[in-house]
This record gives sequence, structure tokens and C-alpha cells, in this order.
Amino acid sequence: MRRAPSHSYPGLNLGEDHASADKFSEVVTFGFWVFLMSDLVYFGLMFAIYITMIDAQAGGPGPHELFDLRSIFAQTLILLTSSLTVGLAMLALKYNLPRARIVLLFGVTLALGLSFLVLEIRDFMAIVDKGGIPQRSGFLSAFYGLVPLHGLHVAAGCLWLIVLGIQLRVMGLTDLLMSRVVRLALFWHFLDLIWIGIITIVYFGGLTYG
Amino acid sequence: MTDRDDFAAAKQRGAAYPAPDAYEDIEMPRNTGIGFVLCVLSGIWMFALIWWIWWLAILMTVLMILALIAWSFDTSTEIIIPAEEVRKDHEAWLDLVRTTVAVDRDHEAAPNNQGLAHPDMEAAT
Repeated sequence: MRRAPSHSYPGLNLGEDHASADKFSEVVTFGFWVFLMSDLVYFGLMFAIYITMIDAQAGGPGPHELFDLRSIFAQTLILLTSSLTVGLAMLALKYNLPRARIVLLFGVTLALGLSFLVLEIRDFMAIVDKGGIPQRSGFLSAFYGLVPLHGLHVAAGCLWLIVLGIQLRVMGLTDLLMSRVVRLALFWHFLDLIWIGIITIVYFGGLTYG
Repeated sequence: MTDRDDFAAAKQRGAAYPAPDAYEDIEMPRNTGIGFVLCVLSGIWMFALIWWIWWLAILMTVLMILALIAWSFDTSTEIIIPAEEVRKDHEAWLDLVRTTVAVDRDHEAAPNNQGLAHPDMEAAT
């Protein structure tokens, strides 16, 4: 009789086929969840500041002048697709597909992450061109406190993808590296979650209430 | 647990340092220099940030990230102490406990105090 699938931690588990790696992942993934949740508290704080600052525009440019929803739409599509490719990489790992498949999916994710960053930086430059600099108003300070913080996380995730991709090629699928893939996938999905918060609260909320 | 200060009472009974029934392998983290390296780099980094020495701050940021990446390539981070070694060390220590003369509070500054306490429960209550 087949045993019930193991769920040692929230998220996609490696499963019993990876007995030792699955066991190893349990502890470190719990630790990573603690980190993610503390990061979530930080983001929550920045969201709360932004919400209270929506009206604090001090006569400067507001959401209607600054935000370009077309670019936001493109960034959303790119980031959500990258979450899909990370999810596929996790599935490839779980179901023992060739390692090259995982590295390839990492490459696609990296390309999507970098495209997201390029679009976001172009957005920031356009906003600065319209006089939207952080010291202009409380609204803009809060905006620059929150959105680039997410961008910084994406940049860190891209660096992580590169390093882990190299390590996977060099060292192969060891228990340690498999657990790192699990954690990177969690991190990437977490960034997507934050981005959903950003489009709904920063962009749509800003345009509705600003 | 039978007393308010169980360990002190066990010491008085002479039962404070029992030998375990069996010994197991112990998994320990291996020594690493990453903590010290990050400490020094981030110390210089904070100095640079306070005094607006931007080139130094950028350099330290890059070095910290590179140090972390280099460290992540070192995958042998744990060391196993075999049960036999644990048993030998622990039994040597228990022997030391047995042969050491216990010293009470009144004589803790005396030269023959080798670190083994002789609890004086009467005086404590």
C-alpha cells in the first residue's frame, strides 16, 4: 500500500522519492519560512505607511500623473510567468526530470526576472522625469520605500538563480542543493505575492484614492 | 524533578552526574570564518555609510555578497562526532568529576577549588 504523501513543510514538498533530501529540507525550510514571514512583516509595514501617505502629496505629482498601467500590466505578466517557470522547475525536481531541465527553467526565470527589473527601472526613470523624486512628498517617499524594496528582492532572487544554477551544474543534485531549490521557489512565489499586493494597493489603490 | 533546586539536591545526593545508557553520534556545525569576515566587512561598510564614502560602501557591499556566494559553495558544513569519541570524552569527564574534591561556598576562593561545587542546602534555606 502506498503511504500518504509527506508534507513536512508548507509548499511543494520534494516527496518520499527524495527521502534524505526531503528530511533535510524539513528543518531548513521551516527556518526559511520564519525569514519569509519576518520579511512579510517588513513589507506589511511599508504597505501601511504607503496607505496612510496616499493623500500626502504636498502639491507634487500624484498617482494619476506618475503611474503607467500598461507597463505595470507587462511587469505583472512577466512576473507571474516567472512564477510558473519556477513552479515547473520544482516539479521537474520532484519528478526526477533531467537536471538540465531545471537549469533551463532557471534560465528562463532569470530572463523574465531581469526583464521585469528593466521595465521597473524604466518606470522609475519616467517617474523621476515627471518630478517624482522620493523627497518631493510623503506619498513619493512611501512609494520609493515600498516598490524598489520589492525590486531589490527580485534582484537578489536573480542573483540567487545564477549562483544556484551554477552550483547545480557543478555539484549536481545533492540534498543541500535540492533544499536550496525548494527555498528559492518559496522565495520567488513570495515575491509574486508581494507584487500582487503592490499592484492592488500601490497602483490600483493609489489611482482610486490618490 | 523532586526538589526546588533539583540539580543542587542531586549533587548533594551524589547523583548529579549519571552516565547515560548509550551514546550516539553527534552532528555538529563545522568551524567557518564567514561570521568574522562579514563582521569586518560590514563594520567597514557602516563606517563608509556614516561618512558618505560611497566608493568604499559600494566596494564593501559587493565584497559581502561575494563572500556569501563563495561561502555557499562550501557544502561540507557539518561534522559528525562518533559515538565512541563521545563516550571516551564523557567518561573521562565523569572520572574527573569523581576524583575532584567538591568545595562549598565558604571555600570557593580557596586554591583547592577545582570547579566542583559542594552544595550546602542547609545554609541555602
